[in-house]
Amino acid sequence: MDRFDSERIYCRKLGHELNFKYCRQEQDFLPCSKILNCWFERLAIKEYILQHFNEAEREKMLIPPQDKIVSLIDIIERAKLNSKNKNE
Amino acid sequence: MQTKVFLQEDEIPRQWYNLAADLPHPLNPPLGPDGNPVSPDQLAPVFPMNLIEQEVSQERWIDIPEGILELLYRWRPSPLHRAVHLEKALGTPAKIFYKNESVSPAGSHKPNTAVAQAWYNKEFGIKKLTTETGAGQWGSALSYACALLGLECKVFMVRISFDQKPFRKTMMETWGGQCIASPSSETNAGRQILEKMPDTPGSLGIAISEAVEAAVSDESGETRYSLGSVLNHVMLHQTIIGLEAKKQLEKMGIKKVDTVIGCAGGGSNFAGLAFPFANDKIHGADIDIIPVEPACCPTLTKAPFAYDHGDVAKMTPLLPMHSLGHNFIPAPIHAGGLRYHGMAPLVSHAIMEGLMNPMSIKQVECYEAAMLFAKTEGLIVAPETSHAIAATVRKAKEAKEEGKEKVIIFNLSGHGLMDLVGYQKFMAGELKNTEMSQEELEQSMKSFEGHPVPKF
Repeated sequence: MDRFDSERIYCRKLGHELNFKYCRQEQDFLPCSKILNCWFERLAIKEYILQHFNEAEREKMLIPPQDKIVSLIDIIERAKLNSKNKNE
Repeated sequence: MQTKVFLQEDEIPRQWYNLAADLPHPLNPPLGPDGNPVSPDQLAPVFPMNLIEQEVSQERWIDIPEGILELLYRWRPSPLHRAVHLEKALGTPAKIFYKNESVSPAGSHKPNTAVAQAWYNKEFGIKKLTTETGAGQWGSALSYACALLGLECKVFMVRISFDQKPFRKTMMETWGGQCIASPSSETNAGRQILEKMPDTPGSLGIAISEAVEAAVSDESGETRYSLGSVLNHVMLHQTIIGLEAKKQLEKMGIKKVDTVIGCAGGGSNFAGLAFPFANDKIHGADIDIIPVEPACCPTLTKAPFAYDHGDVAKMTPLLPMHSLGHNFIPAPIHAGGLRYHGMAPLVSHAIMEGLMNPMSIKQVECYEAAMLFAKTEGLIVAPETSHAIAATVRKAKEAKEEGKEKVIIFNLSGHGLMDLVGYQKFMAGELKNTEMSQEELEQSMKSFEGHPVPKF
């Protein structure tokens, strides 16, 4: 699982260099949704994903992101809930 | 030979251009979780109503308030350069122009929307803005904008970026912004994550949650959230780039532009240059407009467009993807790449309309182009910007082969002086391209057999 961890790459989401270890657990211990596109030039990344993540995990990590506005509304609702819980 | 054009302050465009008004097929409103169109009220906890109105506006031209122009004058109009030294090095008959957005105080195009957003928020009575940032480009742009307007600014910076890019944090603080590593103990979202994973390096998703919560939970109602890419009003504010460029090209005696190029991540710097030219294209001009992305997994770019994810603008609820877990990589990644997820809906829609022709380029070619540009024109560009330069080099070489004096313009979206690691790696020979084998590719193509062909 950790054999590529020290490999480094420019992260197009964050805008700086980081190592593979971050990419493989970016989404709550699941790989970043861009991991295939970012690493395919350098590693056998498809084989790695197939080897280490089961079907359900692959499905979860590769679900395309929501429309930005829709995801913002989700986050707003969660934030309201968090805020309410804090006040109670 | 004239190699650069400046505009005087009184020549700055006084309206932004809204591509949404001219799209052949209108951009559908985003649908919320309940399947109904998102209402302005749903966004009101995070954006002021004046920006929400811009987000949904169908007006073609929107006046730039004098107060915003006064702020933009600090670095705008930005210069348009002709890259004569690059042309010479390439031996191309093409005329290459670039719009230099690296001259802003934060070093990129991002302050164009940061100052506009900060101004509209202040007009609405807001005292404090929150946002998230990765490496800090957007966080520093917003910190600068807030400093100009006397607003407080709180930036949630992804922990790993916070640790690795200390100078960006310093930039933000120099402009008076408060930069906090995310996840933080300041929000419930952050505390929940820290409780589960105290050593987490964070992520943009967590940082966004924190920034939104910080805005929503301010009971005074004086805090809002600001986003630096993707949304329609962000694209709108950036169109000043292309509108200035058109005036500058006219001053240079250029009557026809053949190719417009910009790197496209979230899409805002590309949109900024390209949308005013897309307007010309919609009205009959023959212009090749190219958003450039990093190369994708070859299965994305070489495979047929084999699955329809939903409607063009991705407004329908996301459907479960088929083919999961079969003998290759699951379908969502294919659909995701082909549909430009993560890119601004306006850009994505314009691509699907055929107004733009995306190109993807591998990292080594990008750094080769950036190195050539640095050696000829002098500027060391941001890693993202190198994609635009690589596409420009390709197009200039094509012009040479065809013997045509084409006019190419690209957006130099930012300098790379704080992102030199990639250059270092390139020069050390540590960046390499590898190709997928034919066997692998054929295997990948098989995964599309029998899938419906998407429609537009």
